Amino acid sequence: MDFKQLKSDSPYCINKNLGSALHIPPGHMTQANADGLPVVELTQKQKYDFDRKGWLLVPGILHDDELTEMREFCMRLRDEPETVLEHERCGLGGPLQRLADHPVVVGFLNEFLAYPALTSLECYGFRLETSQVVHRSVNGDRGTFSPHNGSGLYRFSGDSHIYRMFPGKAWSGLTRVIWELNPVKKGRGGTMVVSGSHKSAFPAPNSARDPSSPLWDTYSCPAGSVILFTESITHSAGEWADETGDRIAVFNLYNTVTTRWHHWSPEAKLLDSMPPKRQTLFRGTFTDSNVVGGDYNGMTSPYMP
Amino acid sequence: MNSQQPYIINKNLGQPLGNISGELPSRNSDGLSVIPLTDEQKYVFDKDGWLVIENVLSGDELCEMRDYAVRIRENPESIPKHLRTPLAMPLQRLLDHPVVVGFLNEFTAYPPLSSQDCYGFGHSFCNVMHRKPGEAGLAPHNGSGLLRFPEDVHFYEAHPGKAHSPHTRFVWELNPVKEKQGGTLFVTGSHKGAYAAPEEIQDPDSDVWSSYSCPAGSLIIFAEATTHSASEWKDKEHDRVAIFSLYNPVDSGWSPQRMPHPEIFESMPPMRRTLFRNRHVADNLPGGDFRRLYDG
Repeated sequence: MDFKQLKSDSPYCINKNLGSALHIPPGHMTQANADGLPVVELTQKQKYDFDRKGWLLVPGILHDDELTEMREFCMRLRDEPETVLEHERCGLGGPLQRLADHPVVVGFLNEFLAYPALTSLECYGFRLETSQVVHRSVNGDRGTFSPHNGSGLYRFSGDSHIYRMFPGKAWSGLTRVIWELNPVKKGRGGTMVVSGSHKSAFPAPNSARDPSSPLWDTYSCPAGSVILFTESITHSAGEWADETGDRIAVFNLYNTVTTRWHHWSPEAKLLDSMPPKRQTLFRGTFTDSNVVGGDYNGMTSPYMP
Repeated sequence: MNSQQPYIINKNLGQPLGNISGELPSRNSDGLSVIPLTDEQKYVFDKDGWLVIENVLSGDELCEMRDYAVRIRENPESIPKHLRTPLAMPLQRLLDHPVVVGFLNEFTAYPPLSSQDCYGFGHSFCNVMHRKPGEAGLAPHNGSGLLRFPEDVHFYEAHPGKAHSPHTRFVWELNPVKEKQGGTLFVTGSHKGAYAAPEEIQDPDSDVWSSYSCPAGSLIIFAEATTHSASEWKDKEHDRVAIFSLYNPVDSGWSPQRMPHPEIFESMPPMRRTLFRNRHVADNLPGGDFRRLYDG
């Protein structure tokens, strides 16, 4: 079906100095990930949906062979941790490391989190705060309904759970990326979200304490899907109720370069083993010239070249 | 005037943070009572992006601090190397002066990371600014903090009844400052500016610039989100002797974290040391649970 094209324009993003516009030259944002794979940009609909709902599902990204390898690593991590090098016993170990800057993740974060002045072709404009593998099973840890966060648009900064937007541009603050390595059936234990609550002006009603309330949204997805949400949305674990399979998921948490919520870092051996570009996910918590291969002062200058 | 407590969003489910006055220190690390801002001071800072509080220091205290600051510049060999900093000796008391804590409790502190024994904000950097006639010049920067994304800390936030200045500069003027003779220049209101600055911003004599005169011992506070600049020092009667001190939220900062020399750090009262804790939120309240306020 042919659609008429909507009018749009580039947003006016404030640069560091004198209210000048932040000019982002074409091709400035990181174009390829640390493995050399081209970044996958969000579609207009994905941007629109994420901004209005606070979360986004991109189904079926990982291929079967990748999935098998990653799932097998996760199972070893749970059942035979001694077979995994100690410094790799986290969500960045073995094949899982590739998820940290998967082309879809970088494409999303380039749009909703990266600070262009701290971004280059060699350096990501965001940080990775934590990475963990989550196993849930009807015969083990099922997870507990525990609603938290919300109203990010109206919060003051200081705890990272914030959401901001201007016409044509939105910014997600602390952002969660979940890789579902097994299928998830709707209402059987996937992460639960209150769509739109990242912009809520009112406190949640008491019914938000009831996991069966229609306030709560969730998803079904095939193995290898990714769920991305702003941590400023109200969300919760769901109790795992699928007797046909466990939940095996990798939870990665991203933030601005300048800010930290957690104080976790990968062990030095693991960090040293990463490609240089992936290491930029873990740089120091500050702004000034904190970009590899970029020109911070040039980008933030208010004057025409 | 009719007024009421602002509705400040807490971490979970849009609930209000509630009354947090007990979480903000009422005494500084020297045991002195914190001096809260007046309603007028809050109003002026929020509308202008900067504020002058005159005569905060006086008498022997002022003389002692000025002498030490001048020695750092003029006679550094008379001071052990690690003490040639405003983090040491009499100047250290400025770090959490009761007026500074009162301001930051209102405009910068994150209550879950604050207690009666711990500041809810961090200290980033300080230096002695000693200027003689002809030194320094115009270098305008920053502005429009209200409309920025919080990605480089030079932003400003405001809701009805409450404002937040995450990246905040304090200038202690230890000598008198005469208007347009070299004090810091500000574009009043530019922390909320929607338009790019006009070309006239590059003229230090343009009326877009505001400045101040003040007696020695005064304190100038500004949001780094406000467009500001150095200017040439022109006063031949006094040098400029000022302490510039920069504060940030506990979880973030502009420059890499700079710790005091270990001997200075160890000599600080425990509460003052909390200005220098690592940049993050989770589990970062010494002696307390940072989650304690989250469920209202």
